[in-house]
Amino acid sequence: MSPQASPNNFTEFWQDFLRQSSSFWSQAATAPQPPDPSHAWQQFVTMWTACWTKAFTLSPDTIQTSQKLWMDQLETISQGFAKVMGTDTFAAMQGQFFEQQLSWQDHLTKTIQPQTDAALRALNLPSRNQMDRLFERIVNIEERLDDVETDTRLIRRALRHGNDAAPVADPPPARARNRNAPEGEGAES
Amino acid sequence: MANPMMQAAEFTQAMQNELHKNLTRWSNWMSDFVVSPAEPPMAQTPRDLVWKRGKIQLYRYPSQAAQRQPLPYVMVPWLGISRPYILDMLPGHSMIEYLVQQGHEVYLIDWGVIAEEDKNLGLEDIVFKILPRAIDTILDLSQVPALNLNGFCLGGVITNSYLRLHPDAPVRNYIAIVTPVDFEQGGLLKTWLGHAAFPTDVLVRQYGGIPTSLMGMGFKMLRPTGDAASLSGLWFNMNKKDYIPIYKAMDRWANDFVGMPGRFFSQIQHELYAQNKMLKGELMLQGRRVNLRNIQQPMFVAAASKDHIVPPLAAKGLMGAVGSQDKQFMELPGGHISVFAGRQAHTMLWPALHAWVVERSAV
Repeated sequence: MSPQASPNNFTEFWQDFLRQSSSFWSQAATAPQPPDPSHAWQQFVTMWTACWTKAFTLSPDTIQTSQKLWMDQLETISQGFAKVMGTDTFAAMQGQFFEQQLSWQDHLTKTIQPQTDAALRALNLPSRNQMDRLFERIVNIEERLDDVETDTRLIRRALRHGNDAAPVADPPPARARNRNAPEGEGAES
Repeated sequence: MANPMMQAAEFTQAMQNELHKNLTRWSNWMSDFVVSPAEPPMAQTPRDLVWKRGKIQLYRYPSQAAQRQPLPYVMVPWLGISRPYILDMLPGHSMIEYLVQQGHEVYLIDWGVIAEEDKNLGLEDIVFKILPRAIDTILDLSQVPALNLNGFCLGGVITNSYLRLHPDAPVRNYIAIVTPVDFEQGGLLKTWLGHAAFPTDVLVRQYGGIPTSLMGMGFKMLRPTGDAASLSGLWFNMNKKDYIPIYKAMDRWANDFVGMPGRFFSQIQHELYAQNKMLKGELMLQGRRVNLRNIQQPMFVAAASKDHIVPPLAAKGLMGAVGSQDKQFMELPGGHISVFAGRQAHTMLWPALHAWVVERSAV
């Protein structure tokens, strides 16, 4: 790959091309018309070809360079966003917007809550609050079972280590379980 | 001066090559995205479910090497945000698979799909109840006196707190990967979550935590051009057949968000992002101070140079905060996830981690 095939040179190539084009067209506009109009076009095509030839010389790996340019552009845009969104002003604005949305949502929920509850009662379905309370009770039951399991393990360990005359059998090793086993199966410890 | 005619010939050749690549791209797109759009099966490393508490599941991945490492390797991933199967992404691209092939018996805590019923789950429950019980189970199963503990991202916040509050914890070596400690260096997340205007309490009251949709939106906002860059990379590399399953797997995971428990999020936002209490030694859990200086285990800290979620300085803060004498910091190229689950992890993080752990795991 040519060492000149870099984004900077590509940019310079475009700057050079635009400069030459502008210069050519301004001269063409002000100069007296030649007897042969095609002569002007030939000059333009020659200049255009020379520019693109220079591009080939500058960047034989044009495609890779273009890809890199595109990714660099995305990165630059991302950094630009980060600069804007990384300000205190943006954070404050975002927080306030959020709070407003949540407040509006809360107000709406409270307004329609009685009607929603009545509809659910009529359909004999549990409301969200009832489900929440049920979940809390389930979590509490799980915690209590966890405590029982821990105490059992401690007692078993104490018996295993403390009683040499009558050792307690070690708990059976955990069975190999299919990872696709349905929810609700607990593992033996 | 170069011959323009020769340069034109090279350019023509380059265009022909690109045309051939485009044909291959279209062919691969048709076969892998239109005819067979199914995602590759993920999390294929054999494992057992050895303990369960509600939604939280502890998996054991048995060692696959003839010579087994003496101590189990326990992974504690981030709570909420996304699922941990990125740690076992695809065969041949899996950190867990690599470790078990090197002889480690790996344990992974899967927090499950967080939803509103988990709103009361906080750091205290995890640090004082759940993690100790999981570790107890591991020690019983493995019949060893100690283990190696690895925290990822917010999982590292959990393990930092656990280690400090359990001075007699049976942890031989400690690994923290992209774990935020100095939240002042937290980048955009620090700016947003550390601001007083962020309505954490209202959010938690209304949703019980961070709902899935909001989590996804927040992380997309961190890198607005992320999806465009990902799709561009896909197009540029779609002529390589082996690129596509990895893209599909990573894309599926990157859009598979879960929520975060309200209490946990509230603690993270108020105590850490807003006040940086952990680094200052002011974080209190059940009346006990979390002072990182009391962590004495050998420690390995890894950070990613292009991490916009946990910038390198945020992770490096752990090095100066702990009392460990034997500690190592590695800043590796890559982003928050690619550092431990990307292509370069094969040759960078995983071997370094394995060597470091093996050297310090003699029983």
